[in-house]
Amino acid sequence: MRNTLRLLGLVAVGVALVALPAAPANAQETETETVTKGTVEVGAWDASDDGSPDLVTEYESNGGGPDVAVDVETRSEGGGFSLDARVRDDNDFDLGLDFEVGRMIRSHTSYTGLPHRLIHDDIDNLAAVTTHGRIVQETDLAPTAVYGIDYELLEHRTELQFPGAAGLTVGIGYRNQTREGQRQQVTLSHCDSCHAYSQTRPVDETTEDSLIDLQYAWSGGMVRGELSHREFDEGTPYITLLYDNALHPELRLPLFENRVQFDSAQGPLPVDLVPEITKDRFKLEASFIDVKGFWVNVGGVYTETRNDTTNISSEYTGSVLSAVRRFKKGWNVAWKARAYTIETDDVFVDTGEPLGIAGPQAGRTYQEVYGFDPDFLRQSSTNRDVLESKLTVSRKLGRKAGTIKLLWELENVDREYLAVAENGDTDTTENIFGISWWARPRKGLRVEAGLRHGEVDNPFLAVNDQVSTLQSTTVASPFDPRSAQYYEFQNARIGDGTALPESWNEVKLRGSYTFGTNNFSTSYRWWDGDNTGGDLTDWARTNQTLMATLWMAPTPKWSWYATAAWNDTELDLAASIPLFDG
Amino acid sequence: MTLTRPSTVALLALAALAGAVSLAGLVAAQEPPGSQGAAGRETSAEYVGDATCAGCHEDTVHAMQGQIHGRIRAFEVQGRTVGCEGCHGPGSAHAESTDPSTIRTFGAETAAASTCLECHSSKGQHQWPASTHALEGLDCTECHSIHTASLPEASCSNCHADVEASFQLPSHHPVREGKMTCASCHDVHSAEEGAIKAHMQRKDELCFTCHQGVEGPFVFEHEPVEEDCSICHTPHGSVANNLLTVAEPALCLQCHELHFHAGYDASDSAEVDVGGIERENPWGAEGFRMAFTTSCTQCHTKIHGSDLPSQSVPGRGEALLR
Repeated sequence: MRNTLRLLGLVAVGVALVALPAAPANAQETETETVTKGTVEVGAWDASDDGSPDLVTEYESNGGGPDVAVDVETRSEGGGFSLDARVRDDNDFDLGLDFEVGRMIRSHTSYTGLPHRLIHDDIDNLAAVTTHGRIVQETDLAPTAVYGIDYELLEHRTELQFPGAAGLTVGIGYRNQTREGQRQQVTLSHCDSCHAYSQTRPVDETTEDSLIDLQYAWSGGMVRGELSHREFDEGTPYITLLYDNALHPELRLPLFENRVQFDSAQGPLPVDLVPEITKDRFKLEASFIDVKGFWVNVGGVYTETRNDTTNISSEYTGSVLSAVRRFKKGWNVAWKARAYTIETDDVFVDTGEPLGIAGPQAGRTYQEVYGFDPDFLRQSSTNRDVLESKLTVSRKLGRKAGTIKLLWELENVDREYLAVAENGDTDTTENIFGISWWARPRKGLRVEAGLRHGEVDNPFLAVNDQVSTLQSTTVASPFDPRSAQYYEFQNARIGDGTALPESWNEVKLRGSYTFGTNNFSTSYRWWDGDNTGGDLTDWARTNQTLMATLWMAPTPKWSWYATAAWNDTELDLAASIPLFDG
Repeated sequence: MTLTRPSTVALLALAALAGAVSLAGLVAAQEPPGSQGAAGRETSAEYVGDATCAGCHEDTVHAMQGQIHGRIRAFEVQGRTVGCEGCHGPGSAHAESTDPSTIRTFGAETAAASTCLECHSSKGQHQWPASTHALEGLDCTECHSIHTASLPEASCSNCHADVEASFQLPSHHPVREGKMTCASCHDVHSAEEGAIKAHMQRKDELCFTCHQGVEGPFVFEHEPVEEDCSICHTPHGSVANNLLTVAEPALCLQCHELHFHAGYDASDSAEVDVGGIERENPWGAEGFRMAFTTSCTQCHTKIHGSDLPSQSVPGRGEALLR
């Protein structure tokens, strides 16, 4: 696929080189003189913090230095060139380059860099010992490490369009994103104890996107096809950890060997594996300005995403349709629909089943002792058929009276493998009804109000994922056949858990007033939803957000703004949180 | 998708019926397409060229030079007229009479979209008629200034000041730092839901444009990740870390229950001898609660999915610890 895109790109460039000299002059060109202009700004920056993990400055570096901005532009009848650049640091910059040749070649390139400072969690809360020998402990293998990522993004697009084939436009795109630096990786080792190890994890990610598209436009519409290819790669695919020896914490004997797939006996093992991913996409789209009075857009897309490390693929196949018609007296009707299917490969997971080494289960696997087969076929919860529909009816009442809009949205998700109800139903259906209004009752003033209500049949939830009915058996040893095992507790769960509502309401109010070169905006949003459809575990959430922003520009070169935000969330869960320090 | 599934057929029929009912109710008010929009269009005038326009509108014509509308060539827009008369129509009558009603004008009550789309349907804005902004009754000139250079993204906050304010919250995408803009994720001319750049796919596809490392597909999945990124994340700004909708562990406890270990009482001693090894217990009796109810992802670090099994055999390696 990548070679195909490269070949197509070369063909496009070749066509450009051949067609350019033969392109006839346009008789309606506007005569323009050559104009060159530019600005240079030189300043300085300085920033510091107290060294504590501070999310407010996660995208800014400490330090200081020059802050230089250059803006150069030259235009003539034959084409033009512009460069704008701002550089603060070697990891904090913004560059933009545009050029065009007779408007037949139009090119845009941008290159951005930003730092991303990351917190170093000292994980010192992961330390505790019970009186009967159960242990949580932590080891930070890099206690003084400073974590951060330098992010860079290069984006380029060139369009080719020639007078001899004016309806045809060829587009070539390229995107290169990198993340370099290091972050924290915590990995848990058990069963001597629950032992959390913190390490430094190098980051060296690269994502490359290549794209070519072809568009043909005519007075009645347009059709466009696009082919793209992505490759994602992490230069350090994984780090390693030597897991603890799975010894009984008090007896110091290897009694748990058949309960853990691996421990120190296997030597350093890979952790935090970041797979190589490739993605290929084909899109085809057409718009028609007038089909029996309707504006119509139709499209289809096919995408294959592959985990090249494990050879698992996921395919997305979808289509979209939109139709809009305007009527007299400001009426407008629009209908949008989408249908898609996602299919991801099944994976057979062959769980490691070591033999017990010592104690009453020596020489036997966990399955041989308890009859539990840990192997399974992973059937993806992503697999689904989805149908979406959105009908909008709006009417423009006038500039001062505004526009009123009614909407009805429908979504049906039919999952292939994931049940979202006790009875095994895999379907979720959501209906959303809404009404909104916005207007400009006077100059500078804009007001808006909206109400939406949603009803969801079988919202996504975790079936039987909470509240086990199995009582823990009081026996002297976990090896006693009467002792309840972890998987038995899981299988005896009867409570459902969810973060999504069966029914919800949303109110939005917004207002904005512009006076001179100043603006005051305010908004209020109230959202309330609940779910009483699960077994034992009711869920409810209410969220309110109130925001106000004042923006003032006393001079063309100077502006400032102040924002105040208030957020209140109430979450009702059937969960008991004895104490947490978060 | 299986089109013969009864539920699918029913849903399609229902949606089509709803559309048909709406149209039937408005049939009496039908208006031929393309007739709305510009005021004062003169059909008998002839084109006179920008130099004639500059005779009276010198400042405006001069400001247009070098800008995109001043540079565009006719072949780019299928041979349509470019320059001043590309939008305002043939100007001979107006040049003679100077009467504004003898040429196409755009004002507060006149939609520009139909004129703009004559060219911009082939310039990437072809989905505009079905976009949320268009259906809200917004016009091109709400955000774009044609005669003078402008940054249309500066107008987003005129209506979406609440979103702009969200970027002031502790966890946010780097918009207020100037490293991203609204257009990094949104195409306001697009008909996609939320005007997001999702390539006609689920909105998660937008997230994967920059966050490929969590896309998978993975051997060991986390079902809400496969369902919808916005179950756990909110894209603009949040109080909780990592753009989470709710802080941990409450986020996770919406679907999962606590480890039973969270109910243990730890020792009161700062150190406890277990098997001849001194183990640290700095938090006293609350230690296990400190460990198991602070942040689930301290241990479950591969929360988006993993290709490597976790240790537990009875857990089938699905714990997303590795």
